[in-house]
Amino acid sequence: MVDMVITGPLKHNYLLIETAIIGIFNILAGGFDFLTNNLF
Amino acid sequence: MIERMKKVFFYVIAIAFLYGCGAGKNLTTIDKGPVQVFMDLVNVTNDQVKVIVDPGAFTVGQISFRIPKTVPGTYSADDYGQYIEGLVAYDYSGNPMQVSKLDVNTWNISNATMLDKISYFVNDTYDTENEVEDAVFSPAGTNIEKDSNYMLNLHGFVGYFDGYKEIPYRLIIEKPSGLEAATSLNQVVLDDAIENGDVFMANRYFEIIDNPIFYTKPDKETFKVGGIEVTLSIFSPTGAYRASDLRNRMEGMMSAQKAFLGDIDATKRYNILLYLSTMEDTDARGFGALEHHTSTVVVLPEAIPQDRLEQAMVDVVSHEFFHIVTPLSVHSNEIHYFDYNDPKMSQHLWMYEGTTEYFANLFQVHEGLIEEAEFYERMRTKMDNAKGYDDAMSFTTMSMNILEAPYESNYANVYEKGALINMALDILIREKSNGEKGVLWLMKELSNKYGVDAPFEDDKLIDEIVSITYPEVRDFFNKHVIGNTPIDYSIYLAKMGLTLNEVEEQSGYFLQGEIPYIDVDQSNNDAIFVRKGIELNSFFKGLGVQGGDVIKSINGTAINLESIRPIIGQSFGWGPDTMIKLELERDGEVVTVEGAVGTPTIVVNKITPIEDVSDEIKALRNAWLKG
Ligand SMILES: [Zn+2]
Repeated sequence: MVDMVITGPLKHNYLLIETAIIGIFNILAGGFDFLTNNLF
Repeated sequence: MIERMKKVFFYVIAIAFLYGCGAGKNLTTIDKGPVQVFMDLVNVTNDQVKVIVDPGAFTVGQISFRIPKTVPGTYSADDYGQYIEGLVAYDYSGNPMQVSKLDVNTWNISNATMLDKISYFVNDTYDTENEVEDAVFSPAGTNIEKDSNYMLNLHGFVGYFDGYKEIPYRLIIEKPSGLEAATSLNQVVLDDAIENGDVFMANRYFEIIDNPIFYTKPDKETFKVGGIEVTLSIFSPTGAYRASDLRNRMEGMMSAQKAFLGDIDATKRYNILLYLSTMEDTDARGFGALEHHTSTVVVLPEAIPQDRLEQAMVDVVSHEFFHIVTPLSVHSNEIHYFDYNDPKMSQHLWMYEGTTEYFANLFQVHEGLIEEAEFYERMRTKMDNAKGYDDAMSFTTMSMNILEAPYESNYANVYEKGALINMALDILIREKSNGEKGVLWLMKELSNKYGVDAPFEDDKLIDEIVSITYPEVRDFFNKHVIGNTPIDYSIYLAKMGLTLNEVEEQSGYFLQGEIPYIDVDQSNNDAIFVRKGIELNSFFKGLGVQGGDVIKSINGTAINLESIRPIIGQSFGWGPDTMIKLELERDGEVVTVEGAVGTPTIVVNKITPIEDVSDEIKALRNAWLKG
């Protein structure tokens, strides 16, 4: 199997899900989208 | 007219099955005919599916009916019996029988010779992932969403009778119109097609476990990879994605895998079952996939943009497909004769998950899907991630005891250090064989000797590997896999003309690239804390913040998941002189730190090629990455 949000230090790290999997776009949703174009 | 006949036909089968198990039934003993299982996906209330299990006649006085505690590949005890409700056993006269529940997964029936059938209701796991402490990992879980989709990981629905796992099963599923099954389970083709039902056959209980069925409104793409017919089926709740959106990337990726593997070939068809989650409270939250011999279940969030979904699918599906090599082909007795309710674990997770994860990265550089630099970066990230686990824990001991503390919490290191063990081993064998052989060669040798039907003895595998490789390989295993000496990766990288250097890199204040330094404690009102066991950036270090600190407030604003989001956003606009005051909770005490935020940097390892290495080393590196 492969678990993308696996145990240990990252277990249930929903910030990590949002950033690493969905992307920074969503975590900054709510007024900060304009930043995303220049971030990474 | 024909349509109507089809419906009647299925109805007749179902009725015969449900009510026709009277006196004549006694003639067939359990070992002589298939266990018949009827699942009703049409009459569903409260996301519960009714299941009827109808075995042949028992000749023993009492019998236990079990739902698995665990299934292969998950390496976790999940007690699927906890999702079963209202279990009733019936005798041949249709009267309920006495049933005693031995544990969460086991029901005992004492007058077994009288037992006709068992009926029960199944709850799905996706609904409650958010509510339970140790949720079933979604790709191994179940979903019941009336008229929309059914994720039938069958170990959650179908049980077995103690001592009768090796007998055939016939699965009869009544389904809502408009939904279609995606599965590698053998479907019985009847003389007349059935409109509202499907019939499947499994040669033994294992095939039930090994072949999830995914019912959705059909959205499938089928393509050929070498001799393998691959079908990709998708459920996308809002319809944001279709199978056709992912087909090209999957086809290209799997063709590259096939090219990498060469003549290892274990299956004629392969099903990729992709469930996209809304990420709402009652939907799947465990993202990733679980392997089976001829299929894989993948669960990912629907909100991912397409390029990321494609990359996630490439990384995840390639990993699962490589499981065909191990453990699906090369595996020990513990896995071959898997005990679903009292499992014995093998020592070789370094191979089952480690080799698989290593291949899932190596093939991408090998087949030109990623650059060498990207491959190095991935290995380097694994080195960093592995720091979060016990580097001095014997991998074989961990593997054998993976369901228990303190080993269980180190499980995820099989994807980090497990892959790195394989990288080091690969380099060692390449060096000794002048580039000719490596771990892929080794796995082909093992797969020729063993295979799907021929397990190895768990404590003989390493001897076997040493006997076909080099004495240095024994030292490597003794020290770093059986033993507890951490691997100095720089020694192995040097053999390939690479160095591992510490370099200072730019960082964000709260994120390094996309990886946060902070985490959310959902059991504590979404409190934000600084992650433990990771290298912190100069911003946190400079202020004196430590791993484990809970951030109570920032510049007077109380902090939780919601209030930190805009602050993370603002932080991208901070300058070195921006002042910050953090109120932290450390070991129950409040600690206040303040100062200028500075320019955040972090010390990271980088793998870089050494310039001016000999042609021999260049050739060796080429054999390793491109051979
Ligand atoms: Zn795996």
